[in-house]
Amino acid sequence: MVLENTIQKEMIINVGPQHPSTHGVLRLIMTLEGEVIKDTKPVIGYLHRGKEKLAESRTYFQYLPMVDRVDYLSSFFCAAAYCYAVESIAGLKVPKRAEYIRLITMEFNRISSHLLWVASFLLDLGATSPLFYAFREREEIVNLFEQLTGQRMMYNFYTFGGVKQDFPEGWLTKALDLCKKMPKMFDEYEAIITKNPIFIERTKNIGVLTPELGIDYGITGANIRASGVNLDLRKPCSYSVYDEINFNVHLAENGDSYDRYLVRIAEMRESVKIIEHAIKQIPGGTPEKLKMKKVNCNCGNENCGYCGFDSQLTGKKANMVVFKPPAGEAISMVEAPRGIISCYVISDGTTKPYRVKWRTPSFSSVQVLPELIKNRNYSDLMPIFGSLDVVLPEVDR
Amino acid sequence: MHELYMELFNKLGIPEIFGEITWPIIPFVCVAALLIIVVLFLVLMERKVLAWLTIRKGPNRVGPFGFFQTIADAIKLLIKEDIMSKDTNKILFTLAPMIVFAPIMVIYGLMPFTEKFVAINLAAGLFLVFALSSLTTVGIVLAGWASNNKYSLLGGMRSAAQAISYEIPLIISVLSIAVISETLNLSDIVDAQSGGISYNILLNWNIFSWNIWPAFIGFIVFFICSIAEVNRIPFDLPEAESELVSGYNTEYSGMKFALFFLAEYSALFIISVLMVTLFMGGYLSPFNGYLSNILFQNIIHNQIILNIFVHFEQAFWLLAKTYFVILIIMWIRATLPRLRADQLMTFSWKFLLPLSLLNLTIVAIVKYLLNTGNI
Amino acid sequence: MEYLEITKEILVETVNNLKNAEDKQFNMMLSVSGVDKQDCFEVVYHLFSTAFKKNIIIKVKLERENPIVESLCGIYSAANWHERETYDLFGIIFKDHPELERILLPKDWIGYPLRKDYVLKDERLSWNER
Repeated sequence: MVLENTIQKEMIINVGPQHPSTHGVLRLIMTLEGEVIKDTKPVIGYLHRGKEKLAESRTYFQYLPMVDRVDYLSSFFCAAAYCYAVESIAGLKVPKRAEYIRLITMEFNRISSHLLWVASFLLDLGATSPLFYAFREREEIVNLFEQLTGQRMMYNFYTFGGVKQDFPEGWLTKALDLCKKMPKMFDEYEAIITKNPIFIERTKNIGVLTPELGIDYGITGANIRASGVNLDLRKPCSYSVYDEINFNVHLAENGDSYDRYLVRIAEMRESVKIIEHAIKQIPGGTPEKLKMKKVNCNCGNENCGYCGFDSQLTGKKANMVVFKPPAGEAISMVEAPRGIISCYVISDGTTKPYRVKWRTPSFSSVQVLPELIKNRNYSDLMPIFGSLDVVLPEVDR
Repeated sequence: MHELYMELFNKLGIPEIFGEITWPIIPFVCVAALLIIVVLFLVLMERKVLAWLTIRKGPNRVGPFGFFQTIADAIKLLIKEDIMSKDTNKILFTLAPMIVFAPIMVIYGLMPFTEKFVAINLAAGLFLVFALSSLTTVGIVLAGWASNNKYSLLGGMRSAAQAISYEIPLIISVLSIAVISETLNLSDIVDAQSGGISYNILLNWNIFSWNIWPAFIGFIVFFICSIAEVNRIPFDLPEAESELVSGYNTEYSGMKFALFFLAEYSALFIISVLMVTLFMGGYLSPFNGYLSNILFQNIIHNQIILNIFVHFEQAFWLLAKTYFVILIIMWIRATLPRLRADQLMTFSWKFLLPLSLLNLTIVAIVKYLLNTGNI
Repeated sequence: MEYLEITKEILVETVNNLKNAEDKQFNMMLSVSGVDKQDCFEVVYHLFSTAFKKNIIIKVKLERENPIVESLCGIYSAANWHERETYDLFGIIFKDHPELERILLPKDWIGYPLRKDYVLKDERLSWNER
């Protein structure tokens, strides 16, 4: 820095790419006046892995494990977005049971993602213990996923036209047990966080995202719902089987950091209810029962509850090597924990996708950050940036 | 004690002059040893307590219950490379950790750990304690400035602002203690808290004459301010790791960082000792008289040995109360998030300062009424 | 899903109409994607209406030699970064964009990697093409 004036009022500070609270490798070039942020310029791209370019040199099936890495905290949603897009190009129908399995896993993933958000958000604010309490519950969800898919983070579980495996024996019982336990655990952190005067002081009326600003910047998910915009792709349902399940979309009014916290906590509670409901009405019931019935049924009827189409795991099995969807294009939109993930796939009739475009919610959230933290104290960076729930791999893809 | 020490020299046949020279040094050696031991134990305690509060196990690999973990950490810090970036102000950068550490070490000498174990017994001890403890801020600001790092600079600036706004309610709340005890000598302040409030049984326990009762508001103010004084959550703004990376000590490594670390924990200990001394009867037992007097009176008739027992008991009571206070401070650390800089100032100026003044007024009125005998 | 293929001259006007019309209200821009169609470029805009929960896809064809299109930053703030990304990866130039520079790739990157005729110069990076 060259000292031009004898009294220099502004200081340029470089936050990141290695900084404890930028959730990865975001870089913010900030102009501070004292401790007041005057200007911010986000610099992204440190985690750019060329996911869109990689798709063009791989077959549809080879690309399938890679989509999990778009957002490592909500891998199921990325995989679902890609699968729905390819399925609608190829005209593959997904059986109901597979849709239910997708729904249950996706909702569990939403809880685990929100839990990690609670943990990191409170850690940014300086409270250490919610991190460990949130990880205690996340661990149980991750254990369930490990039993189901064999993986703890990158599941590679969905396939075109369904899912790869049925639940292992006893999985649904464990999931129900966890669902029963979970609301009590949420109560535990609400007791330590929600009414904490310091937490309220740090987050209330901080980083207010007005509905107009949010829509203008394309903010989606819990962030825009906290501003009072009823935008949830699950209701009215535009994908999967959410229309068969009763649940509420939680909104808040002010759109500040505190409301974003409240909405996410409410969403976790709602997700628990969705899972309980879905497990109750999954077509074919538990895997043990389904296996027995299937052996004894043999009726060959398409609409049979046990050996018909809707209780299968995949519809038409696609050949991994020569899977060629017809030329065409499709866009899929999925309500991920951070907002709308959309995947735009163009096929030219060969085994490789012609173009895959990812639209990720955090990309917009980072874009709106300079607007929210302008003229605020430097300490407000953490409650604002943390509450937007940004995952950097998703921004850079 | 002095006679015993000199006798030792006589028996060994060493000229008495060596004894006379070494005698004043002994308290300081003891204080230095105490400081190191206290910090080693405190770090382990902090890690264990935080681990228990956050459903973890804590250090459990080095030695029994991870007892030697801190020693391993200390060795690691000692043999670490001392990094100094190019544009730092080398002299001030080296000086800063010492300026932070030295005053705290002197304060250790001023504290009455037991009736006799006071290295420097001053008439204006209380005054000197606060004069010295403000000096550490100079070191922190210096560290922030000399590092040539913007995070450090912000940390140093915050530390200065915090120290100015929190030392005022702190000192005003201590002023009420001076009013109650009518002295600034720390040992006398402790002695003034003995005796209970009446000669009746139970009511003559020391616990009832602790300063915490007349100056309860002052105690609350002092407690909050002392957490701010030692830069711990929720007031750890100078080193808020999610905002300023590590604040004023971002650029420090090796032994210089270790000095900051040492200063931080020894400050935590000493402020708790001070709190106990001023408000909770210091080394006095909460009962009437000492337990060892009551228990061993009929068994041991040698008064000197009994006095030694009493001595150890006083140290025990002081440490027990101190660690209780530290435990609460650690508990707070595990529970609360961090305040924002301007909220911190608002809290201090608009809430703590009026409260401490109110406390002082109440105490002064009560004292006046007591002295004139109107109650 | 509605598709709308328009020429680049009427893009701004069309989008303005779509955003402001009472019965459409496409007030959110979800994404801007470039597509290399070998003979031409295509810019695909995904708009979303929060009021009616409807999508619309707008496609604009650009000639390959000189891909220039009007920027939509004045209509949607979200367009800023999305257009920068498209410029970064395809080299499509958005006129009147406030700061058209690379966003995901380093500033000194040569070429536009998502074009179909893009060849990686460094052999170590192109391992999967062999």
